[in-house]
Amino acid sequence: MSKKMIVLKSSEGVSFVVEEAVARQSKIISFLVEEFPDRELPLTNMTSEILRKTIEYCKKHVVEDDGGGDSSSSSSGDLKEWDVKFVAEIDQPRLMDLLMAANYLDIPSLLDVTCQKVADTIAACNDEKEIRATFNIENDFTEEEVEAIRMENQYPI
Amino acid sequence: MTSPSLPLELVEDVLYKIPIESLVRFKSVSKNWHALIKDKRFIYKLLDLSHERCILVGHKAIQLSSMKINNAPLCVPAPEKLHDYTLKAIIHCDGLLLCKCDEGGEHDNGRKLAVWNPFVSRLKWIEPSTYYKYFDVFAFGYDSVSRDNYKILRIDMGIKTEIYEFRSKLWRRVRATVDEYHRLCQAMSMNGNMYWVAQTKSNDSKIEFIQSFDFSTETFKPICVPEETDRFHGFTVHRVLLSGYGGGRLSLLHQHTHLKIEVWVTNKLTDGDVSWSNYFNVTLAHLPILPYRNDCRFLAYCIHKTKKIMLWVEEVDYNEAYVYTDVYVMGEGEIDKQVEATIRRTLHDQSCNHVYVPSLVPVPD
Repeated sequence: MSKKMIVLKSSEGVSFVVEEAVARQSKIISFLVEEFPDRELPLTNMTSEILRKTIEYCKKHVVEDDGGGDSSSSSSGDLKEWDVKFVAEIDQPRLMDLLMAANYLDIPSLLDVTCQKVADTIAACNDEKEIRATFNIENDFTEEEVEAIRMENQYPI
Repeated sequence: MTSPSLPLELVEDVLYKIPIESLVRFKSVSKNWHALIKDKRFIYKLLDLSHERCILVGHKAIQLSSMKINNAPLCVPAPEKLHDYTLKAIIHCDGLLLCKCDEGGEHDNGRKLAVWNPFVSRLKWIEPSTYYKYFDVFAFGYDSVSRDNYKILRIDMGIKTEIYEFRSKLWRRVRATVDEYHRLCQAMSMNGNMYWVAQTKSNDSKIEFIQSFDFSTETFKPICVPEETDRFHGFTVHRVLLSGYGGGRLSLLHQHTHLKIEVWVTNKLTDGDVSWSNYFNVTLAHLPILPYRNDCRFLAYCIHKTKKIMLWVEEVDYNEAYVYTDVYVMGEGEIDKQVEATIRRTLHDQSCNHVYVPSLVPVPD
């Protein structure tokens, strides 16, 4: 029996033909497939590049249900290693896009690995200035407020 | 190319994955981050997601085992007002340390009790109803109604039992009593209740059991400890160490011989009746024999990863006159690593080893 395919369309209008089982790792797509069978699914806030990455992740993580029980394509140890490599190869801006894609499409395991990678990046920052620069966060504190937080982090005299 | 900034709900998911010791310095990133890191809901969720670690608490500093097994422990200085005291015992609950401090000398009013969270840089003295005594036994926890209204149980053996509440800042007497010959040792907090390794005598031999104190019902209740799996005839030692596991379970380490260390865990304590199962054993031809001394603050362990324990053992070098803590990581078939990064201090620097979960829970004013 041939596998059922669905079509996902990126913000640039590029169509991606994906096995339904692969795409269903997204809870949102899973829901949409049931509501609108045989329809192209437009993902207007995802670029082709990010969509391609997301599909690559889902393909690796799909558990094939051919009646053979646990026939996941890789062992869980290998898969973890693959995940680490997968996020390590992505640069910072794309990692953020991928994290938001995982959140938007509701793919818990992808959200977990991307969050972990962002957490590691933050923890490696030397100070708050470096975090602000890396993640494009505006400093909305006055100098007095910064001083107050510094006092908060010390034992009162 | 600039990165898109993270929406706040995703910042939260990310911050849960950052070790707590790093989080404190990120409060000044932005107002949103600051508000989140100080938010009670965030603080408790982070705590519930955190794992047990080993801590060494001294009057000058604490040392906390790293999340990564090969990294050196993290050192956090203690506030100056603790420097003049000797730490006699500590109890841990939700990242807060209850410290039994002693000024030295014969004066009863030289004994003090402190609640300290090294990761939020706050320490508070708890004033006694009547002066603290040398043999006072304490418990630290909370009831099932309000987690942040922490309570301290004080057992003034044979005289009174009383409870201090953080919210009212008052001591009140309670009816619960405990047999004073049970030698409550190794206080361990889990789900707000307190568990000790206790001893009772039977036909001239000592039998261990777990004594528990429930802060919701304010009652004591004994729990059995697991039986040793195979009795070894010949040279035996007898060490029992209590710890916690995976938020909600107790864990127990048994050593009977130099060949085997057993690690036991309970079911989830919220499930009702407590039952033990053998989690794994460390079997090796020459295991270190865990030392025995008349108190329990020189040993601590935590289950570090699946079927791995980290064990901190305090040793004394009397010739060179210093104390050091050996760090062991033990897996099923072997001692994976005996980390040489020993923590040295002088004989007078009394410190306590304990299992600990760091948190950002505030110390009440």
